Amino acid sequence: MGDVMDDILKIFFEECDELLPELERGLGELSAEESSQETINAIFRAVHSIKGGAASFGLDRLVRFAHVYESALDGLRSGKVEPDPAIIKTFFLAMDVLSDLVAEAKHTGDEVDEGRIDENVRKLEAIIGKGGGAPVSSEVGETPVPDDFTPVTVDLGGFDFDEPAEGGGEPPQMLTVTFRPHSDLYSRGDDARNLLMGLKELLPVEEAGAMDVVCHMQDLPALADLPAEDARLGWTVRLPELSSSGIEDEIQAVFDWVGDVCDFQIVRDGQPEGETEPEPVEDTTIQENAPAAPVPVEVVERVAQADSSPPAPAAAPAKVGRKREQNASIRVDIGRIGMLMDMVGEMVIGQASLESALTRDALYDPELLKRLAVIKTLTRDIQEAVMAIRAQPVRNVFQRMQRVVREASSLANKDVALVLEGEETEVDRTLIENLTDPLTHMLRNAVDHGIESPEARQAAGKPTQGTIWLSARHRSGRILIEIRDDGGGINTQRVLQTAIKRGIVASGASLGENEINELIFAPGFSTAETVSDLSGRGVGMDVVKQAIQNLGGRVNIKSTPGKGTLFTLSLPLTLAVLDGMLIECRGSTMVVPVSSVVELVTVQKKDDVYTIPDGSHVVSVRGRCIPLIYLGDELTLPDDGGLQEETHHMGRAGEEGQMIVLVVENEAGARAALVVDGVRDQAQVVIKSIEKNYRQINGVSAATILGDGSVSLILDVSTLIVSATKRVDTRALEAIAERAA
Amino acid sequence: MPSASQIRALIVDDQASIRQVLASHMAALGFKGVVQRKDGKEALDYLETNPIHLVISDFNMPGMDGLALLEAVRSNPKTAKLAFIILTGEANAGLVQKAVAAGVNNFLAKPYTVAKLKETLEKVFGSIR
Repeated sequence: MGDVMDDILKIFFEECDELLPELERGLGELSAEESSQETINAIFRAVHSIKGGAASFGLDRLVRFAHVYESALDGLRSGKVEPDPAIIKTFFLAMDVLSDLVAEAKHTGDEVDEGRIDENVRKLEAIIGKGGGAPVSSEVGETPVPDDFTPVTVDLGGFDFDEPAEGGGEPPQMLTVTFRPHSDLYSRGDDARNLLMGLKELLPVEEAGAMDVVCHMQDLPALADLPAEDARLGWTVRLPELSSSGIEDEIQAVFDWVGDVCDFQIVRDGQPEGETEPEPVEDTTIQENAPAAPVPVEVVERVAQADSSPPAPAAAPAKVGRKREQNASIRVDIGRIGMLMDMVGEMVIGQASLESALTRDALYDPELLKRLAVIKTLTRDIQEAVMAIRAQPVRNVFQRMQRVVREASSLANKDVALVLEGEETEVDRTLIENLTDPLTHMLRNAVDHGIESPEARQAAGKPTQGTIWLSARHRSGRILIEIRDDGGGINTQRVLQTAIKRGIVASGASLGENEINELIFAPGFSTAETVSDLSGRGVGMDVVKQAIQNLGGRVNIKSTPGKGTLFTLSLPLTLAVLDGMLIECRGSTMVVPVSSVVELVTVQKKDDVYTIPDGSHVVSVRGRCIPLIYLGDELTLPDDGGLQEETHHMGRAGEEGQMIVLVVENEAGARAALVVDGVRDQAQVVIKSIEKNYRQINGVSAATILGDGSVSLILDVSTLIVSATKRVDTRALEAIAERAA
Repeated sequence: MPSASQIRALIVDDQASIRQVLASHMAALGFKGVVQRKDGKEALDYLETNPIHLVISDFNMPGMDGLALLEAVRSNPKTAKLAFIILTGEANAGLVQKAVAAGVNNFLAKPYTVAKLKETLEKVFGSIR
């Protein structure tokens, strides 16, 4: 029985994984002003169920704690205890202990500290004391039955123990499965034998003998008259319903593959439609040649009707449809979906290659291209569908952050509430998994450095409770995650001093506010005066930034002194495919993500391009001056003479003629104009990591393979913009804009 | 008096682990073909078409709880006479009193041992072979 119990224990742990989030949700909805009885019941039931299950498996530590917790919640349920904020907080902390005790029992977590358990037990018991309820008994599993209760014996005369089974020990319930394959089943290469074997496998080996099989041969003509390709046989199988309540579903599953080429019906003894008799139908049974019997079986008649018009879908009982709907979801190994995603990526490349071949002069065929367009649409649909399979709401990660903030604020002696927004936003699963660590770190930081101490907040005229908002939403093909706090904002003076002290910037450097804010992402930077338990663990924001960048994302900071700080993470929805604009520059084809392209314009070199005092160039587009980036120079692409010689110089200010600029924008709204030789196409490209195969290159985020098989670089627009705006004095830009206007 | 294998039993609990532990304990006592349902509503649906001698039901379940199930079972002449045992870990005298008033046959306190389960059943059915 050991193995059986192990399996059931696994089920119990799965239940815990569902119950704990339910508990957390319930506690989150709890408030002194308004708490529905339903919420309170759900909270109580979650703890109660964990306790009950744990007791069955002898998980004593878990049971003991859950029992105290349950008793405290009972006070809440009976209305003796009012859920004030302090009590809710105690419940939350107790939930964390409970969750850790489950992890301990599962052997996925460390042993929970005895002192921590005791402390939480004391707090929980204090709640009951405060509420005036009965003292909590430490005795677990006391009998709920009052002493004066006398068990009520049943009147056995009221039962017929032998009905409908023939004798004692006979399994109580029999199911009759009748099926008749169409000839299509055989022509598909399947066999009625497989179905019979499938049914037999549903029974435990020792019960296999309980299956009764009858073959219906009444439709079988003499051998000479037998059309070789017709299906003339049907079967009736009687089998006991064993303990598993899902046997009907399992039988259904045996016929799942052949539902369209086989009539079948499951009839349970005693069911209204089940006039089925176990007696063989007018035929010869496999076991014996039984005497001919009447054909009272409705099912068989129906099958016979179906025979006259072979594919008779109407013959399928309505029950089948209802059963199928119940299987609304399946579990799939994530590796398989990853494989599917990779294959879709390869399919995109293959299709691009086909398209590029078809547009070459020799093969040019508009008719074929038209058909290819249909396939392209389908490919995109498939890709989106696969992505949707992998997409999950950020809820789970976000809710985990509640605990992070709770623990951090309790360690820092601060009062902080975390408000979640947009938890239902769906993101690729791999992205979600990799978000947990950076988010944990940033939230700890927000509690530790962002939110001030209650005293400081009071002095500043703010509520003593600090608030952190964590939100997620989609914006133009990316997901934006914001972490906002109502703390003191970034103290730029202190950040600058620290950076100078650490040798990150030279003393006397004059930096703008944004540049100073960016310093907190510098490696080796930490302003915490004392290394606290929380964020001062030697891991800085540089690690966070790196982690986000590895996901193809970026971090931005906006800080308002006295009001708070806003961190914005911008991440791609998927790590696999992006829509790109293929541009030409000095003979190379490169990819610019379409999501960052604002517009493509032709400008007059003479009239629209200005040289500003520091020597760099800007271009005026629709009255706005934008720093120019000569992409060839920026990426130091080789100047290989010939035709490229001309294009190389085509973008210089003050010259005659036109040039093509691609106006791009980053998440912060900063723009730059890329000077390119031309735009070739727009295409979906598969992202191939360059760092994995080579190393990080400034200005390049990844590589891809184009339809013609050549390797091309995907430009990192954001770093290009940053390097361009750093060079350009923004005041000069404003002056030029005024002049141009 | 009856043999365990003759008693048709139905277990009702929202927790699959609890159901399966109980089912395996009952199998150890000689019960055969124990049916499981996960809440009061499903249990009633099953009882509608299947003769059952014994229901062992959890008290606290979402939707229809054990007490409501007991009351529904007793109010239907078809199922009024079956044996009803409530499985509970809660020390709540109020609920117990209501269950007694509704005609519960016995209680089984969680956690229990196989011996305790047997004793609880025998107090209802007489000795079980």
